[in-house]
Amino acid sequence: MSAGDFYVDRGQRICALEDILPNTGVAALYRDEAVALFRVGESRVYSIANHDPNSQAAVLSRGLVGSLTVNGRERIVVASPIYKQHFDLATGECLEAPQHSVRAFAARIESGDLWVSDAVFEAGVCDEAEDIENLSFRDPKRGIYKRLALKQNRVVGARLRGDVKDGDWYRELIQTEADVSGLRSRLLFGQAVCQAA
Amino acid sequence: MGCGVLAKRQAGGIEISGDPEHPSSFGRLCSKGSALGETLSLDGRLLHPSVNGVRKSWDEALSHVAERFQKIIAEHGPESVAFYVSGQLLTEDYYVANKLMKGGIGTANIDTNSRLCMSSAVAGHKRAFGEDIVPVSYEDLELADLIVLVGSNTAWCHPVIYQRIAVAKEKRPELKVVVIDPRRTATCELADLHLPVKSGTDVWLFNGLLGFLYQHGIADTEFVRAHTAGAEQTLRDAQKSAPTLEAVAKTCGISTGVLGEFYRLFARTEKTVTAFSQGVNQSSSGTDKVNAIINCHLLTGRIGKPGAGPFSITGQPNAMGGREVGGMANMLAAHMDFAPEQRALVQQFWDSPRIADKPGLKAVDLFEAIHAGKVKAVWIMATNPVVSLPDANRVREALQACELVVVSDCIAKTDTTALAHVLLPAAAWGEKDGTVTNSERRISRQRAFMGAPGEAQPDWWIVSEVAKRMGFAGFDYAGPHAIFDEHARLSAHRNTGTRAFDIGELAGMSRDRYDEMPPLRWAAKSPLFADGRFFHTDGKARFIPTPPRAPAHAVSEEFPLTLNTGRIRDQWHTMTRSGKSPRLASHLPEPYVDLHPQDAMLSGVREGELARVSTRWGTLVARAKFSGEMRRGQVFVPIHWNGQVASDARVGALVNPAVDPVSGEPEFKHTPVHIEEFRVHWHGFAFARRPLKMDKAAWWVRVQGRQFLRYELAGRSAIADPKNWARHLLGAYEAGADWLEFSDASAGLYRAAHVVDDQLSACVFVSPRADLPSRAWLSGLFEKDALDELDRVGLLIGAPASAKADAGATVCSCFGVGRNTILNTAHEKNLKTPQQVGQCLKAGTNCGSCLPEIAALLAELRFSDSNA
Repeated sequence: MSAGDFYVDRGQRICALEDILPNTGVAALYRDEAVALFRVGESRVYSIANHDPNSQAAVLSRGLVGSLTVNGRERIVVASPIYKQHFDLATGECLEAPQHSVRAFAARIESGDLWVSDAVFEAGVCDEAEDIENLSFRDPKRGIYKRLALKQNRVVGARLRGDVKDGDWYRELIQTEADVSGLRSRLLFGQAVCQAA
Repeated sequence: MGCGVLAKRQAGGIEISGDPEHPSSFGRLCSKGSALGETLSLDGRLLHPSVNGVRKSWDEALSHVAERFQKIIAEHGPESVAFYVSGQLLTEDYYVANKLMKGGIGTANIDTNSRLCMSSAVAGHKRAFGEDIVPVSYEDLELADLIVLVGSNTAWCHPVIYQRIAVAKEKRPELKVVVIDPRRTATCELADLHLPVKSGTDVWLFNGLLGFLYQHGIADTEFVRAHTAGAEQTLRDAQKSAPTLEAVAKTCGISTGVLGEFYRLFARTEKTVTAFSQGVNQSSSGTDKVNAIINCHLLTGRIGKPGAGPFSITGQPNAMGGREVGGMANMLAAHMDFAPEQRALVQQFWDSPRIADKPGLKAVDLFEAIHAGKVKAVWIMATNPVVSLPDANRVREALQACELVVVSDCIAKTDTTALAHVLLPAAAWGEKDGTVTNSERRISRQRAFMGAPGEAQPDWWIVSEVAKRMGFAGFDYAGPHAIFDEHARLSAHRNTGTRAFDIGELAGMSRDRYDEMPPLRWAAKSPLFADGRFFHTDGKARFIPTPPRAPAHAVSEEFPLTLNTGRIRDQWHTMTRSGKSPRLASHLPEPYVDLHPQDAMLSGVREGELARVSTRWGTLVARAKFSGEMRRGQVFVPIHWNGQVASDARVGALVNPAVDPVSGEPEFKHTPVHIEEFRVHWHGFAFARRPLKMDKAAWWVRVQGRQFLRYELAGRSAIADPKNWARHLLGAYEAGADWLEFSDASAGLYRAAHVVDDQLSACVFVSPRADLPSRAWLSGLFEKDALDELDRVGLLIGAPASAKADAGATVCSCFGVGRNTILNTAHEKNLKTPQQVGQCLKAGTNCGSCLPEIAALLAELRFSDSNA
C-alpha cells in the first residue's frame, strides 16, 4: 500500500451552508458520485452516498432526518423515502440491513461553505519500522483504504479512508493495548466482523 | 451394479432418475448415477476426426487407419498390432472390435481395462467352474443370512448394492455382515465384524477357513464327492499353510478372537454369500484369492442355492459384456477359448480368413511390447491407460515411441489423447444404442436419448468402417440390433449345453423388439450349478490348491510402507467424465494420501499439508489425511486424478507392474512406498470463472465448480510482488479493474479479488500455512448476480461478515448438504438417526451414498455431546 492512499485532500466545495434548510438534505455530485448532504440543526453537516441499495434509487437526500437510540446510543439517521430503512449519517450503516450500508463522506463547514471530502480517520502511529507489522486493505472502487500498524500483537496505529466507522474501536484498541493476535486476519474488516467470528 | 437409468428431456437439460422397474436397482441411483446429467455437457468433447493434429473427414481418417494397420501387418505380421479397449464400451462395440482383431487380423492382441479390475475373478471362475460364470444374483444378498464383503468398499463403489444390503439388514437384523479390508472403510458402518487384515494375506485367511470348516465337520461330503474334484490335495495344502487359528491371525495381523468369531459365524451359517471386488482381484495372487474363496463354498456345498455362493462384483458398466463377447486377450469369443475345435467353430461361424490361434498380450505385457517396439500400432478405445495402468510413466514412454497410436474417445483432452496420432470422435453414453451386462448376468438395453454432437459416431460403426476398408467381409451391420443378433447366435452356435453362456433365444429379434428388450438375466431359469453340474468336461467343479504367496514386492528400509489404491465415493475412473460434475467434485475435491498418524509422524508429515509419495516407479504429491481408516504400515491414495486436472497426482505412475501369473491382473493394492514432507513456501487457492494458466505454482489441482473452476495451489519459492503475481495469475491486467486486496506482509498473507460488473470474477488467497479459509462459502458468491456490501467485506475474510453459518464440506452431493449444516441441525433438533436427518434436511434421501457418512457424523456428535 502506498502512502498516496492517505494523501491530504481538501475535497470539494458544494454550496453555501445557507442554501440548505436545517434538518433537510440536498443531492450533489462529488467526484463522479452522487452524494446526499444533510444539515442537522443549524451547524452540523453530514454526507453519505445518495444511492439507496434497498430500492436501487438515488433518493436518500430526500429522506426524513431524525435520531434513533440504538443500544443506548443516539444515532443521527436518515429514513429512506422509499422503504424507510434508516442510515446512520455518520457512518453510512443501514441499521435494518447492514449488507445495504452505503459509503460515508466527510462533510465540514469552512467560511460559511459546505465542503465534502473522503472520510478519513487517523490514530496512533503508522510508521514503517523494523518491529511494526502492517496490515492493509484496499477497495478502490468504493474509495476504501485501511491500514493498521501492529507491534507485538497490539494495534499501535490506524489510518482509514472511505470507511471510517470502526475508527473509534481502533482508537480504543490502541489505548487499551489489547492483544489482537486471535483477530489478526479479521481485524481490518471491523468490530462487527470480529465479533461474528 | 448395472442400474436402470431413465433420462428425460427437459427445458434446460436432461433429467436423470432411477428406473423403478429395473430389476437390479429398483429405481435407486448412487451419487454418480444421479449426477449423470452434469456429465453430458459438450465442454471438452472430441468432435472431429484428426490425423497428426490436422482435422480430416471421416473417410480420410478411417482410410488412414486402415492403410497404416495393413501396412504394418504386411511388414511385421499380425502380432505387431493391438487394440486396447474398455469396459465402458457397449457389448455390440466390444463384439465388433473382438471380431476384427481375432477373426479378421487374426491375432488375439485385444485386451481391455477390465484386465485391471476383474480378470482374476474370470480366471478363478474358469479354473473352478470350467467357465466364467457368476453363480449369484443381487437377490441372493437379500436371501443370505451372512454376507462376507472381501476387499470391497461397497458403500462407496457399489452404493446401490450397499443400500440393498442395508435395507435387508434393517428388515432382518439377524442378517450378519462381515467386512474384510485393511482399511476401515465407510462400508464398515454396516458391519457386525470387521477384519482389518494386512494387505495381501487373504489366501492365508481363506485357507485357514477351509481347514476350520473341514475340521469342524461343516463339509458337505456328499456334494464334494459327487460334484467336485481335487478336494484332498487342496485341503492338505490349505492346512499346511494355515495350520492353526493363531498362525493365521498372526500372518493376517488380526486378533485370534476376531478371526475365530468370523470362522465360527461362517461355519454355522448355511446361507452365506462371499462378495469380493478389487481388494481380492488386484493382486499378484488374485486368482488364488478368488479360488481360496470358491474352495470354501465348494467344500460346504454353498453354491447354486438361494442366498449362497461366491459373488464377484465388477467395477465397470460393461466389464461383464466384454467377458461375454470374449474381448480379452486370453479368450476367443462367447466363452470359448483357443482349443482347436472351438477355434474351428468360431472361424466357421465368422467365415474368417484366419483366426487367432493363441492368447494375445494382456494389458501390462501389451504396453511392455509397445515399449520394446514389438507392437507397432495400437488402437485405444474409450480408456485412459496413461493414467490407469501400473507404472504409468512407462506406458507414456511406450506410446510416445509407438509408430501408430489411434485413440477413439468422446473427450478431446486426456493424458492418452495427448499422445495419439489419430483421434476419432466417439459417441458418448447418452448417444449410443446397445446393451450392457452387470455382475448378476443381467443384460440391459441402453438407448440413445440425444444425438451425437459434431461428427461423433458409435464405436461399433468406427470399427466396422475400418474393418471394411481393410477388406474384411462380415462387417456390414444395419445397426446394433444386427450385431447383438450375431452375438446371440454365436453363443448358441453348436452349443449342446457345454457352454453355459447361451443367449440363442435372444437371436432373431427385429430392430423394434431389440429396442423394447426388457432387462433380463441369462441362464436364469434355474439357478446355475443347482444341479451340481459344472462346465469342465467331466461336469465337476475343481478345488484349486492355493499355496499362499506374499505380494511381489516386499517393503524395505527405503520403502517401508504399503501403498493401496482405490476409488472414492463420487468419482468414477480417471475423471474424464465424472470430473465434469461440480456436485461430484465437492465431496473429496483434492487428491490425498491417507495414512496412520504414527506413520505420518515417523515420516515427518503433518495432516492437511502436502506429502511426497514415492515408489521405485514414480512419485506424486498429495495432501496428507488421517481418516482413521488406516492401520499402521498402510497408505491409501485414490486412483482418479490425471495430468489434466492436477500437476502431480497420477497414482498409476507409482504402482508396481507385477501381475498375477494366471490372470495378468496388476497388483494395484500393494506397492512399497516412501513418504516425506513436501515442503512449500506458501499454500493457496484461486477461484475463477475461466481456466487459469498454472505456470506459477509448483503444485496444483483443478476442481470443477458450478460457475467456476477452483485451483488448490502451493509454491516452493517466495512471491516477491504479490499484487503483480496475483494480477497475472487471475488475468486482471486492466488499470481500472475493480480489484480488492488484503495484505499482511509480515504474516505472509495475501488475498485479492477481481470484480467485474459487480460480479465476483476471480479471487486468490495465499498463506504460509495450509490454514486457508473455507472454500464452501466463497464458492457460493459465484452464484450471485451482484455482490452486496457485506459480500465485499466477507470476500477477503473468506467467511460471511455476519454470523451466517458456513455449510461446510459437502456430504450429500445430491442435495448439496454440508457437514456443518448436518452437525448443527442434528445438534439443535436432537436428531439421532440418518433417517431423521433425511426428514429434516433431505440429505441422504436420494441416492443414499452418503448415509454411512451421516451415520458417522451422528456418532461423532454423540461422542462430542457426551464429552461436553
